[in-house]
Amino acid sequence: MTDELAPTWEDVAHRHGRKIYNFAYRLTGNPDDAADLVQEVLLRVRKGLPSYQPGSFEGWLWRITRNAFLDGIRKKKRRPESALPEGDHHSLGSSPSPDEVLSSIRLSDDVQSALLKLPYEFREAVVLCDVVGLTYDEIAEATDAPIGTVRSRIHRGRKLLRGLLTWPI
Amino acid sequence: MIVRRILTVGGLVAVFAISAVGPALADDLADYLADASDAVYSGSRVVGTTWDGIESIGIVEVQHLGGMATVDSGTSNAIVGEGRLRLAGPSEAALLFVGATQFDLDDRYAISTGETTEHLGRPTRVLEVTEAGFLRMRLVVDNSTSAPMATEVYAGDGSVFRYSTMIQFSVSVDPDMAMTDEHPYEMMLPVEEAVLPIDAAGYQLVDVYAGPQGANQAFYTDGLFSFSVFTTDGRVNWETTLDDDLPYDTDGFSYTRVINPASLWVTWNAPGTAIALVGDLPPDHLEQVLAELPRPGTNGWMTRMWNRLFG
Amino acid sequence: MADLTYDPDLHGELFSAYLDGQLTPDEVTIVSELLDGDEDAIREFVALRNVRTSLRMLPEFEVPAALLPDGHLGDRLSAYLDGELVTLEHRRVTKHLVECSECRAELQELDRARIAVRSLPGVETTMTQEIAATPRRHRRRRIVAGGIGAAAAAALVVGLAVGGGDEPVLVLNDLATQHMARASAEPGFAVLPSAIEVAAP
Repeated sequence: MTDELAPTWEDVAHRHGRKIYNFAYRLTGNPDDAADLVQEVLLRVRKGLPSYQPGSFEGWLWRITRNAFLDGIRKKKRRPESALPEGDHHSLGSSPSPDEVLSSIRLSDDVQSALLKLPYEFREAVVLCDVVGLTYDEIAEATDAPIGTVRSRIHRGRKLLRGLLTWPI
Repeated sequence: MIVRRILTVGGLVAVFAISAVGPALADDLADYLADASDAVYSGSRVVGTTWDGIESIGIVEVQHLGGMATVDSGTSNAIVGEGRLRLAGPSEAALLFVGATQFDLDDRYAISTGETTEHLGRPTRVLEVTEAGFLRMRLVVDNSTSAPMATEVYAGDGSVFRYSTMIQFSVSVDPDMAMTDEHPYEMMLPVEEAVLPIDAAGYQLVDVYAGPQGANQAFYTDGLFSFSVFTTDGRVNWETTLDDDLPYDTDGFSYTRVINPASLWVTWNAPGTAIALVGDLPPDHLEQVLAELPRPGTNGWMTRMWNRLFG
Repeated sequence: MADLTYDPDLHGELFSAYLDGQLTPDEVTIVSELLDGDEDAIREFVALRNVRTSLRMLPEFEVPAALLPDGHLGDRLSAYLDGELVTLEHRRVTKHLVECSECRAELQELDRARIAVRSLPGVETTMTQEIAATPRRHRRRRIVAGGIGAAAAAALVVGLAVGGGDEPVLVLNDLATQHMARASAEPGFAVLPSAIEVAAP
């Protein structure tokens, strides 16, 4: 999405709020941190919109998001928790038996806890790519890193996850 | 599903005896339909249609809960209700007609309650639906659940056109029956376009949808029966996985029809447009509706004029 | 053509980027060659793909509503889904949905959440109580007569799937399915028998 006219912050909230929330959620495993981030990002978007120069909107938004996230980490001065959330909406396969239901829930929990064990740059790269759905270019812009680095981080993140996840492949 | 097409001589024997209707409370049909929608039950049901001596029968396993029904034919099963459908089997589909609201029942329908009877050992009552004085439909309704145990829809000449009867019945339902997976539904949104008449023979055009198949779907209902008219540009090869389309002539025009246990399909090519009609309406209604839709025909001077003006 | 041997340290990254559609055509050729008959390479590729898929299949959570401002559609989406909007508003929302893919996605999410609630196991009693509490909807909706008619409207030109012959092919069974789905929203659905008209393969 390039050269877009600047939207209102309400538009941003409605169209991107979910992604921002899930970005923070997958990075921290913590719904409260995720909620805090959404609020903070929307605040910064509101402040920043008047001086926004039309260009790559996604890049701009995700730079704000990422910086807000890192600022939040620094302020809290603690490592992101690996606590699992309550009240998940879990994906269920079609016509699952009780056993299948349990195993698919475990799967998503497994992935989340494995994610939290990754070093930050790899976790962030993987979440931006596979959870948020940004392109390598957009991730490069958001993280202020060259594309080659982005590519390498994503791959190493996935490799590490593969090592941590124990289901048969 | 066992689907048989049989050319029978003579009419079909009614599923249950037609008896004289005693003095009755006139229930509101709309209220009954709402009650039926809330019914909780499961079982097996025979469904059949007889049209011009041709019979088509099937058996389905059904469950009903909270306005949703599962219909299982053995090879395919569907979860359907409230504008939502998920089909699994040789064909797959997941459709949601967004914001489809219930249509008011046409004034021509009235209901009266008949005698108390029994079906599969359960106390039931007979409900009769009349259409401007003519007996259009008879229902045998389970007293405790309001489930339709048996139904008969009559054609204009009083013969049985469509019928259903429960051959197994239970009040228990798998509570997971309405469970669906994360597969997203195709959202069907209405489009603002109507080349077809807004009303036809007592049916109202409610919405037109741009379907995934590339044909527009115009949905008509009179609050009880309903049908969809699919239209496309130009001629089309109508295909069906069932190889039993039959000729259908009415009022001097030729159509093609497929007779199924629970619905009828009629197809034809009108000037510049291919049309398919799918629905559960009785055959005499169908004839009246067809009279108000574009008739079969080939490209004629009218089409050339049309194309010049709008093409 | 050079005979490539798969080297995980060297080539693993290519597989990841391939899965993300971020390779140049030349790089794509390299990946195809690497995968050609090399079991180790294939195993690694499949493993990476599975990890990627698991990540992409993680459920997406709803933002707590309190965090969102009252949007242009916001709470109206829920009413729209339930068919509670009056004709004019309904049309406005529909028009917006046709243009806005994000709102369509939100609509889909809303719909999924509804299904999730409905299909919780073991709530048979609660559900029937809930059903009893839901107000009955008897609302007439129709296309507004003014301005739309056979003469006034230009037919929508829609793309058709083209079959083997000259003419496009439409499968009646699928249309029947579409009709059944729509008809299920009408009161008659509860009493008129349904069946699935699909022949066994």
